[in-house]
Amino acid sequence: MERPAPSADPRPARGSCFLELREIDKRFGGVHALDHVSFSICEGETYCLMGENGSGKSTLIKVISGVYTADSGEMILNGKSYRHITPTQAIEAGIQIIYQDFSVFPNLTVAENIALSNLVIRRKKTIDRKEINAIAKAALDKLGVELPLDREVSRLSVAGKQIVAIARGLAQDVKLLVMDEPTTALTHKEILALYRIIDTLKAKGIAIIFVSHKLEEVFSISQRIAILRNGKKVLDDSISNFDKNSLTYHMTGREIPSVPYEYIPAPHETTPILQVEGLSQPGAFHDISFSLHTHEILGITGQLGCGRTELAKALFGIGKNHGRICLSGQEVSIRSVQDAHRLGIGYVPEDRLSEGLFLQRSLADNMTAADVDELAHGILLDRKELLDVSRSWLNQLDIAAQGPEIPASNLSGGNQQRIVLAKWLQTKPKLLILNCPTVGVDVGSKNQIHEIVKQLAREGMGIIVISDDIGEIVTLCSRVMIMKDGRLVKQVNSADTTVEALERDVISDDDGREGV
Amino acid sequence: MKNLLNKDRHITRLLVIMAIVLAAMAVLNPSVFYSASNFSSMAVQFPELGFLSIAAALVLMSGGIDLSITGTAVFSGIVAARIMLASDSPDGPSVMVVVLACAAALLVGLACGAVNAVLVAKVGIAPMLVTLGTMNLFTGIGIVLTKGSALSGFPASFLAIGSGRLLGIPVPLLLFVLATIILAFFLNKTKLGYKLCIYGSNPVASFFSAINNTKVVFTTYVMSGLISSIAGIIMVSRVNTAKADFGSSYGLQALLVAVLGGVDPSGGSGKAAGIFIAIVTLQFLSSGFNLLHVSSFLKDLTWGALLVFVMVLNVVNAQSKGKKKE
Amino acid sequence: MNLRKIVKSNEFFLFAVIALMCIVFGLVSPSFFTVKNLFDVLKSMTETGILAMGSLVVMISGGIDLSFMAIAVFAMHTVSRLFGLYWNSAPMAVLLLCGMIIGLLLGLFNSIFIAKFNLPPFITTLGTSNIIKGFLLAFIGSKQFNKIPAAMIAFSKNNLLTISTDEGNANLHIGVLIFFAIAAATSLLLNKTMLGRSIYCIGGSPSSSERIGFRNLRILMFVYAFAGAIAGSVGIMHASFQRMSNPFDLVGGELNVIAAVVLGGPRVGGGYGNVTGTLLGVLLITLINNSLVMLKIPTFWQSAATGLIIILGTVAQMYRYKHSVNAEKGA
Repeated sequence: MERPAPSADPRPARGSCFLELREIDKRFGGVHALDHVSFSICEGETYCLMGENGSGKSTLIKVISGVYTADSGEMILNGKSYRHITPTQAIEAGIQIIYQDFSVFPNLTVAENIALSNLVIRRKKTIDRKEINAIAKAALDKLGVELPLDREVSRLSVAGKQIVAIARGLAQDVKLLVMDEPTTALTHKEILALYRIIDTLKAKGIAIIFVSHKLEEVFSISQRIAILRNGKKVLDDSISNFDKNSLTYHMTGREIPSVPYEYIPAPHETTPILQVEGLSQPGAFHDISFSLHTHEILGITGQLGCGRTELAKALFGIGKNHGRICLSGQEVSIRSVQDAHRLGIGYVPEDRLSEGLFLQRSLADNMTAADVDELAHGILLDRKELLDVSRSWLNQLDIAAQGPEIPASNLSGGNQQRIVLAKWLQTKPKLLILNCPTVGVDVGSKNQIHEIVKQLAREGMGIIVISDDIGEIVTLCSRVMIMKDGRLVKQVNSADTTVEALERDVISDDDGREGV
Repeated sequence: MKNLLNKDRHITRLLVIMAIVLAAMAVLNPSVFYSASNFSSMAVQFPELGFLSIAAALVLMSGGIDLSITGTAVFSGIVAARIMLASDSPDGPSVMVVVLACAAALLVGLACGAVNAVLVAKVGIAPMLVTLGTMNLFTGIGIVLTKGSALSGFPASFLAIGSGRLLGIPVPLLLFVLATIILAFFLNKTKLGYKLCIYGSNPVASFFSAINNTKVVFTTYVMSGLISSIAGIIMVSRVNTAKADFGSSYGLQALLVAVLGGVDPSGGSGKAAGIFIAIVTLQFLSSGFNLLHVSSFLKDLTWGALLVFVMVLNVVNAQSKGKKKE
Repeated sequence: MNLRKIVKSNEFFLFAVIALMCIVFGLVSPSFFTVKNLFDVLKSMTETGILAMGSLVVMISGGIDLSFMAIAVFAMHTVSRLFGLYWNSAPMAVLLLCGMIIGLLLGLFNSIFIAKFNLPPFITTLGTSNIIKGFLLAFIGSKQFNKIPAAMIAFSKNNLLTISTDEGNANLHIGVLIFFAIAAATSLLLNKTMLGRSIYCIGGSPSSSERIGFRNLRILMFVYAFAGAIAGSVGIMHASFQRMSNPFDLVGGELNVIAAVVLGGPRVGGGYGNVTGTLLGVLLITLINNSLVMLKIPTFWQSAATGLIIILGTVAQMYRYKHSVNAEKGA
């Protein structure tokens, strides 16, 4: 473990740390998620855990929480050594995790969701409604938020669910609080409230691990910083030794993000490939109007729950939408995914594992799934042809795989994402929509995918990229739209702004939230 | 063939099981088992279960389940029976009537399949519940049509389906072999077969890949209904009787054959060859049991135990495969 | 606001349908609204109702158990024969207890495959149902057994209340009390104990359930053991009502129970369902079955009718669910 420079905060002696991980190693199939990672955190310390998507952050957290068992290595908790711990042991020891996917129970009420974990570790056998409500209310009060205690969580907005997840973590005495990207759906007001809570916890001597890739948050909250890259810990130091640039370098392993995409409009082309006027979907987004030209890459960003995914899906034929959509000047009606497909629109979904891939099927099957009708001769399908087509894509997109017949589950995240991309490129779309295209993808693949996308745009495709990685947006997109609460609140050219300015724009709220 | 063996451990495993069964029979009861009459009677018996298994397999591959296959079979058979018995010509129903009766039975199969299809694909109710309900509904209608009793006395032209022979080979066997070939063709060479496996593997991703899920599911259940009705016709023809509760144990056996044949109960894969070998193996086992005078209760126990055992084996295999990769 | 919530709920919908049915029946046959009929209906609800409690718990956990009838018959015949032959004077409580223990063990057997090997519950319990039934018929007995323990026969005549009415004696059987007791216990389990809430958690999100510290494996084992124990108790009561033990009984009646539970509200994926809804579902199914008898519809229509009801019921539920989701989205 690296020792900080002498001028930095002195750390307590090894033995008195609350939690210590030694040489934790974990593999998933071909992916080396954690490569002999050692890490320790002591009372009152606030660590920011950083790393690109796919660096191993989530895996590390799940090992700490006991959900995953490391393949090798040791955990020392409160002085006692464990080969691995169960979730119950973790919770009993005072470790509380606020998961990135919230891990709430949609079928239970707000109060139950918040209070259950508390009751589990106190080994309660019976339920007392009053007690549950009291616990829940106390936790929500800490956050300064009000939520109807008896509402079913499935009916809450995304922000509401995140608040429930955070409240659950705060509902009991905790010694180590781990928060995985906890502010992705919160308003500025709520974020400030969370920072205040973190300060209170720090004052009480509680250790905090905070996962975030938002540079502002990192510098305002944490004392120390640990960075994971490709499963290895590459940095473990006091935050005072860094500034934004040096931090970015360590995170990505390169100086500054690569050359941003320069949009050069096609000569003699005046009609946008896509024109959207007054598009609305009740409950998701309202009155969205924008246009997109060929060769252009447009970015759409905003917090979780702002409506960006619903907007993308609406362009792909999903959802009950009103408004006008024109493709290359012609008004079109996109009422189903089949319509969108026929019109030459492709969509690479957010969650490739459940929405984009057929994991048990071969790469060939995966890459041809969207183009079956075209590849078929009448009702017949020639499997050999599918294999040939797939091999050519494996080459073109530089996908590391032994051949087109292996199952998709064998590939790494970056290669899997390229398979999904290949699926849609096979259909020769005119408009390609990418939703969070590099989530869970290693840095190398991320760059390659970015290059592929830029090349597609140079060749004439119109591309929309949805992402909450502002760095990615600025690199890839020539123009950015910010959505908030279902409305388009800002449009700006990436050349005219910076990553920090955009990040600020995304979380700022002038009118506050109307209620979740 | 070697390629097939290497690629699919299910088929290899099946052939091993079949070999064991045949060997056991050779030891325990060689003279009766390995006789022409035994093979002949086996060849006539298994096709009806074979058709039901194909129906079950297709639906399983789509990630669903069709419990109503025996109900559809029985209902179709009874409709055919009623039509033939309703003919009041003195020499018995003419060939035309027989053809009409069979056509009607197939239509009933299509209709039953369509009912399931609409409820599963359009309304969106879980296949398990829908087919549990339609199983009872179809069987129930069958009971109503027969008032609970058995119908019999069908013309020779009809009985030829079940007991006739073409070039010495029983007609049902020929039909089933044909069906298996069509199934293989469907799964390997057609667009729809491909879409079925894709959909079964991940319905959400299939939706996002612009595959018309509704059409795939709808067609699957309709096909299941049609194939079940063929089974129904063969069943009635073979024993010259139409009864509403005939073949009720076929439901579980059909599922067993499908799973044994390599169909993944959660959807997405299956091979026609596997189903064929599985059903032949099962028939060997069943006949063997009969010849050894094993009670039908023990037989039922065996089917249930085999089904669970094979599924456990699949899970254990998958887990060890996963570990090997690391 | 609260009143609106109640009116929109599934339970109220069922209640309204039942009320409507009762009015119609009452008009058709005036003897419907008598105490005797009430008691009779309650008695015919007993078996289905108790089994429904077990199935409800399984469905909330996200699974389904198709083997409960086989478990019931197994427990029934084994206990009847064993005690009938070797300890005929055994008290009813002992018989019930033994039945429940056998059922519990068989339920645990189920849970091994479902909880440990993660096999799909539907096909698995279809298979185990055959195993249990086959084992019973092959090794324990396949013939009707008449010399059941005296306590069972006495139980069948054990009426809590006997009122003399114009239509004859109205008997409220003690089985009804047991039914209500089990229903109350199930409700208590589901609403007031952590174990009960953990079942809802597994049904709602199995991964989250592990993360907050529940032991999924143990909870699932409990669920299937519970369903098994309940089935075992019904088996004993069934032999008692029939005054003999016929190992071919009961099986085939799974659909009635499942229909009743499904009508009561649980969704196939798990996480939803409650005792009230299930009780109403059982009542509805019982009334429909009874009405078929009353309207002199031959028994062979029953299968078709039950099948139709399950379909109509689930379709209705589906539309109500979709409608409510859309209504919220538009809000």
